[in-house]
Amino acid sequence: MRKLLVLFICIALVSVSVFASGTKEAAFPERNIQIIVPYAAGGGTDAVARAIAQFAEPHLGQPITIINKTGGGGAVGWAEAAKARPDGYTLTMFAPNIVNLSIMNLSPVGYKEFEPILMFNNDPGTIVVAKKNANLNVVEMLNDNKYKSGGENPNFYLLTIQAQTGVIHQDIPYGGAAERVPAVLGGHVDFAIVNVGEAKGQIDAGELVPLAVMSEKRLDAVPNVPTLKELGIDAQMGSWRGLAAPKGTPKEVIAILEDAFTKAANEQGFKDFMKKAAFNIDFKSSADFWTFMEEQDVATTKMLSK
Amino acid sequence: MFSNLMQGLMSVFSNPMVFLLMIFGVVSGITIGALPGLTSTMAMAVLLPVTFGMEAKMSFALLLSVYCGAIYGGSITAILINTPGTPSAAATTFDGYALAKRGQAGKALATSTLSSSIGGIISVLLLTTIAPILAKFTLRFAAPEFFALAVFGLSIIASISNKNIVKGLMAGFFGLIIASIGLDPISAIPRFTFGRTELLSGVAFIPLMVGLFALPQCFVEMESMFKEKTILKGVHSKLINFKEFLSILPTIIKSALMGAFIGAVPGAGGDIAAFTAYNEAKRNAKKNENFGTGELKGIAAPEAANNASTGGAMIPLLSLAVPGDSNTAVLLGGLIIMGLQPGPLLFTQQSDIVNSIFAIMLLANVFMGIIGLAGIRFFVKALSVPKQIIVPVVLTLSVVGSYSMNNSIFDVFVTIVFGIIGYVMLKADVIVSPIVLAVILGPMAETNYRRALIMFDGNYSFLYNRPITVVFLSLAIFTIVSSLFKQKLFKRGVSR
Repeated sequence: MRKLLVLFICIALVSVSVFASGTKEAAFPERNIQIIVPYAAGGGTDAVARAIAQFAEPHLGQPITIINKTGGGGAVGWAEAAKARPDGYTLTMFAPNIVNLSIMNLSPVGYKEFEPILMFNNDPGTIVVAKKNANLNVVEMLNDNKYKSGGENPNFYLLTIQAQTGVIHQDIPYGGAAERVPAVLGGHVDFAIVNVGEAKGQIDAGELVPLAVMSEKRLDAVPNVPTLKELGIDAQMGSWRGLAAPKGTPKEVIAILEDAFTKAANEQGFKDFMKKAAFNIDFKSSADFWTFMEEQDVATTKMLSK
Repeated sequence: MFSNLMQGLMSVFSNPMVFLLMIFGVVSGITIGALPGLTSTMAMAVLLPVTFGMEAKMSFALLLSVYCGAIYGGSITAILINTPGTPSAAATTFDGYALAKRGQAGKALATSTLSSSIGGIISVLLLTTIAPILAKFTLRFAAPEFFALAVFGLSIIASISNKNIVKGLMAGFFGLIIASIGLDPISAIPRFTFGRTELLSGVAFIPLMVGLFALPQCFVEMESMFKEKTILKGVHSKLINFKEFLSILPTIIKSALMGAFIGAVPGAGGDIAAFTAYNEAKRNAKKNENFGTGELKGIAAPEAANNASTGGAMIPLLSLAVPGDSNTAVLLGGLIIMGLQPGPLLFTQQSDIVNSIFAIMLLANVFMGIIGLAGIRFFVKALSVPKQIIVPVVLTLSVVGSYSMNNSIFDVFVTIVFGIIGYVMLKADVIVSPIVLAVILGPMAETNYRRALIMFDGNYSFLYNRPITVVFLSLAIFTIVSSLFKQKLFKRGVSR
């Protein structure tokens, strides 16, 4: 009797597993997807991830969970994501550090360990000064090393400018924009390079004045501010965010994800969110995103080798 | 002067949903704050997406109530089981747990509840009146000022370890070594990471704190788990009387003012506020007051200060759009998603929402006081739970809490390693709080000292020609000298 029962259970288990593998042939995704955000909850990258997840769920038909795994400027989260099974169920958010950290030998993984899916935004560096310096000529300022800058170390924005002007400014190391903005407001440094969204309240109030943006075209958020290119300094650098899957994820799966996330990103609700949070929308398809990161890689490597 | 606050209260009172959300927020905040390893930041970050669809007022009712409730909740476990639920309750363990050990857990909890609530209310009143002025003042804090503030904070190590300053300093220096692990904050070069990516951003603070406080306590209780039934015997749930309340009221007000100011300085939060207020209350102690043995003022000072730091932290957030700590960083995200841009214009263009925020924080602190006082009878019951049950529960929560901070098994190992270190320290009669202070303030001191040297081209004059810097550095020297002096007196007293 007992043997019969065991046999029965075995048959049941085998048939269940056959049935289960049968459904595996069915369309991706069949269970929930997780996005590893390598930065803290409440920050910019986290906000974009949570917003896109909300709009992509209906297109994928599965819930999306956000997992914050911080540390090492993003390296910890990316190392974890790169190790995940490449089946499309574990994705991660990209930011400029995915390129920069591996150049500086600070991360075991770089963008080459991943397949890009979609880039969402690219916020160009914006040079801001305090109200009392509003009349400074930005080109003169960037060509005169008596002005002090406050930025992260290494300050890729400033390095990009210095590669063009050849003038080395004293750059006092500060953490994120939360430290740089008060440093400019309090007059502890002369200028800082931030994203418009990070200083919008102060810019609107006239306490901080944007002098130039480091992009190809002028920004919708501050249309009166010239680009550095217009002023004769061809320096472009931004802070961007996108979505990627571990290397080896099947092409079909990437295609399904790219399609669903592109649809979600083009929804008015998502665009409204990006505008409210002052993120500069710059969608790039999987292939374009890859080319973009390769260009960033070459430019940054060149900059740091100097 | 308070007409803004009145307007805010009116608009909050007009919506009963806001009330329900606030009660839910305060209760969940207290619970999360009380659990070691779970923090207000985590709770707010989880709730933030839930609030996306809500009206701004309701969303802030929820987030701010959780914020205020969690800062208070940390003191409950600090008092009952000597395990601060949040970093800012670390200073509450000194007198809170000592008083609970004397059987007066109810009194300790009542003191912390009233102090937290009143401290929070005072900070909201300050926020409504002098926010823009204080925000302007904190902008004068450059690298030298932050360095001096950090040094002053570190000098408190001398004051909290006055039984044996050498042991306290050993713990402090150990903390400084721990704090130097990770990426060098100025030149971004890895230090003592042994090639581990997880260590690039340093030893995670919450797992470290859970390890240092919660685990050693559990280990000690385990030693006698089958001999004694409960952690404490003869627990009274009696609250404090009016006379006792009046005697601590000046301490509460003074600590609240200090807490609100420290909270307003970006980068300095409830933990530093609590230690500073405790230090000041202790320095000011009368002859018959014995800090460290269950003195009510020793509970009132840190608790009033850490809750007052919540109102303080809102000042740079709302008027400068600068988040001073991780909690306000989440709130900043919330504000922006709601389409509200913090900054000088928020006060003029969106005064309605600013007034509501003030009113919500005020009410959250009131609710917190009422719910806390009503809950004391139940909190105290935790102490009559048999050790064989409560120790495994706390151990499990500690491990789960440190894992869930960052979904990282590495952090669990950090907790266990520091648990063992903490147990050895407990046996050697070395207090662990200096490690906490050093880990918080060490990086702040180092970063700003080196930043200042770069700013002034290697010239040390910033140490003596900037008034705020001089004040803090003098306070630091004063704290160390007076502690040494007191220790000498104490020793003499003992030898007689």
